[in-house]
Amino acid sequence: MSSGTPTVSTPGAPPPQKAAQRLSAAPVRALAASRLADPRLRAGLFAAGLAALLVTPLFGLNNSALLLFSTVFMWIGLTSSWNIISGFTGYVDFGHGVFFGIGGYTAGLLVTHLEMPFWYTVPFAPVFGFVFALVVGYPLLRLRGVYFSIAMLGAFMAMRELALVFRDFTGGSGGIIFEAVIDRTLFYYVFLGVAVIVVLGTVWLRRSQLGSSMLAVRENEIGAEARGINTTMVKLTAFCVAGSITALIGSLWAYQTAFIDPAIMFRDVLLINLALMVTLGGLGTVWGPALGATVFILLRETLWETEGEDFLVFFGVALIVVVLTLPKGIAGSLADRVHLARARRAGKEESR
Amino acid sequence: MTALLTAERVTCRFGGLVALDAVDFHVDAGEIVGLIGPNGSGKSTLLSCLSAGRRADDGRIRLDGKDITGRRPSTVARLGLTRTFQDARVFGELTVTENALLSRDWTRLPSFGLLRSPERAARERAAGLLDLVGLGGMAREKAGSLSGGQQRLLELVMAIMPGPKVVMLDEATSGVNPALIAELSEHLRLLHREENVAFVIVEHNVGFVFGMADRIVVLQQGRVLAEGPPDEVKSNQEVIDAYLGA
Amino acid sequence: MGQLSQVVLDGIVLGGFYALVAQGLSLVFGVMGVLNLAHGECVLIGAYLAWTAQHYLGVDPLIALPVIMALGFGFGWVLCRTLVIRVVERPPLMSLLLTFGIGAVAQGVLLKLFSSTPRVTTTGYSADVVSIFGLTIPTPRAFMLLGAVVILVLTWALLNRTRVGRSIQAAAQNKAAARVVGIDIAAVYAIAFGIGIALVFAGGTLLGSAQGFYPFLGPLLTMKAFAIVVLGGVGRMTGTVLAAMVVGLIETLLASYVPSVGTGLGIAAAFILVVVVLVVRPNGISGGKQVTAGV
Repeated sequence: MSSGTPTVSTPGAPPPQKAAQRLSAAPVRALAASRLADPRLRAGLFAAGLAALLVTPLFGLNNSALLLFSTVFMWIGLTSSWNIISGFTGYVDFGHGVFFGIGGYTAGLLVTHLEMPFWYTVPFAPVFGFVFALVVGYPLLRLRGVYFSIAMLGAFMAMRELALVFRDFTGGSGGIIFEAVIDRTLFYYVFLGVAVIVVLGTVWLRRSQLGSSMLAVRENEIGAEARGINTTMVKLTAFCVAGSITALIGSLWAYQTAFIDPAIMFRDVLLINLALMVTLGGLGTVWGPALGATVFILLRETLWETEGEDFLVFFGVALIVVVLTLPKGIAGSLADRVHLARARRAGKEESR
Repeated sequence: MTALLTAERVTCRFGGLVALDAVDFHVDAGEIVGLIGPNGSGKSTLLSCLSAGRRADDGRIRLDGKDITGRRPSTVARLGLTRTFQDARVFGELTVTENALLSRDWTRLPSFGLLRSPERAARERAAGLLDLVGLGGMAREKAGSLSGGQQRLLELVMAIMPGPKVVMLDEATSGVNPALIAELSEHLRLLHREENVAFVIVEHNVGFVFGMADRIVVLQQGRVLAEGPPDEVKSNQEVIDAYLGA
Repeated sequence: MGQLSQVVLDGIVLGGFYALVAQGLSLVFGVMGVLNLAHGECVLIGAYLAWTAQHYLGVDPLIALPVIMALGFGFGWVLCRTLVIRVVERPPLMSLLLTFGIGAVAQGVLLKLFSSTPRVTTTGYSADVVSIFGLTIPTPRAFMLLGAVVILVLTWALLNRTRVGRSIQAAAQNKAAARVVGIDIAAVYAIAFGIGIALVFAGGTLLGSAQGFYPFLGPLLTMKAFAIVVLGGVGRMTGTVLAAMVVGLIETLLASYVPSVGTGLGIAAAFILVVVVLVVRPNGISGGKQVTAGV
């Protein structure tokens, strides 16, 4: 943390007085950041924001604005649940879209084969997501991080293949069409509810014993095990929770869209977006995923209107740039600032 | 009187190399046992086998009458046998208090104020132990910002927190400022008295072990070379030749 | 019986191609610890280069092969020196994200340049077949197997019989020790990455005249290569070849004997195989580096 002022000045290094200037500018920004660290202020901001979002639809937003908002909320839910397995335990799930697809297909298949009313199918989606996570996670979470990541990508692609191949059951590439419910306001509130619950759940999780155990697993699995933490249980719990939330969101999204097929329920872009949003916001932080999702969707809406190949190139480049320049994400860098400010204040008090 | 922790004929092989050759080892309640021996004698391997970090190829391990052979490390820790590591494994991104509280059982659901007492008891115990080793003032710091010596003390608190019967310390003095080693042994004695816990101390620092231990076990090439009170072991000719002589 | 031996032969031909592609992934992963998620896209770049050479310049893919491999080495070397080197020895997520991004860019660019229409590099011998023991192989597929075998043998010789190869192996086994004996690790990384990409460019070139390809094929190839690397054990060339054959055979057997759905199940089958193998033998078919978390 300490700003390593070089004792030996090397030709390439900036002259010492410049470094000092940079330091003197830092406290101002750090002070602003440290205010954000005050939990009461944060809770207040959250409540105010939530109240504003609750009343917003009453002021007659048009449908595309409502859709934009519910898209943001949906992504906040997706990124925050992905963050539980990938950020907190450090087991980066590169095929998390599989749960989105499972959720959508749970809904679609129950509606078409059993003629269930849609809302009755909603509780089944997280249950199937949970079961899938349990069955796949038990063997795969024994793998080391990178292997787990790519094995999940395999699970994702395998499920997409299965959805395509068993066309008598799933409708194959033709997909399933359900009865459309076009009520943007309804979905606005549904996705807002999901986002709020998942984010608050993450806040609680980070402070809970389970959350500390997850971070301990991320840092040192053998060490965590020695402290009496059953690391398999912790990883599996994180995975199942993340998987069932994502499956729930998948089923809701399917209902909103009123159409599913393998190409949209198991779409690669979902994986890229998840990785990009969370990395942008700050992997493993509490607020980072929500922040990343919001910034990303709004940027995309205002700056970018394309699909297809330009989209791929743009996101690919964005991902590369974020990885190379902002590895801790927005929230992670902010948290570093706060710590710097705290350390500096503590230092001042001590020197008095 | 039966011992608290007993290991019978524990054998551990790495490929063709026999790291532990049918070692018998025991710890009585409240005892401090020093485990010494030259590099590669099997001290750390024995410690790993006892704490279930490594599966023994042969032999039985019992803790308080219960067979713990082949259990998960976390289960062994919960049953009352905890350890520290040579490279103090504290969790740098968690605060000091969060580290100390890690051994709580997370599967117990949050009680939302109805049954607060176990939670409060755990927090009070953590605060008390941190005070005892002089880390009370840093409870809200991230563990990653502690010095090497402080991290060792924190790890010691983490190992003591669940109220174990035996705590095994792997090279507790390595990386600790020599000036602070006396302080460390003071903390250990204090914890030993307060908690009535048995210690197994694996050490290179012979002076430290002989000062602390009630009984010394000397390992050499995966076998027990000698065993007894410190004074007796110190004057044992075999031990002097093999290890202490130089 | 006759049909079965034909299916087995087809599986071996496919396995040869997979071995080549998986060896590229295995080499990079073994040396740098970087799992290249743009691997399949690199195969496709090789395929499109060969297609372009044939289509616009009339150069036969087999003649273009050495040039394409050299281009692959250069591309890999530059990619490593400019981007990949910045994420080596950082948390694995960073290299996964970076190569994922590279893959997305490559896919987008290929779509822009060549559209999503499947292509085949047609040559004078595209329609010919080779017969051995009453079994037939289309000539382009025979060249694919032959080319894969030759290139793999050369790679083995390069890794085991030359100074550069030994430096690469040393770096794979122990980075710190390799540094101590004066090996420039960054240079070794770039060379290993270059060789890895040269191998997959070659694979793409050979694939391109044997079957149709299109930009979305990339992730599928990455997945299969990964499944093979895990099955075979990282850093074991014989294991990789063996596993590639197994995956190739399973694929052709499924396609021939499971009616109507068999052809679409390549990834699902490979993935289930990986899960089963990892449960039964956590270190892959032939041992090798540990892949489990160690608890």
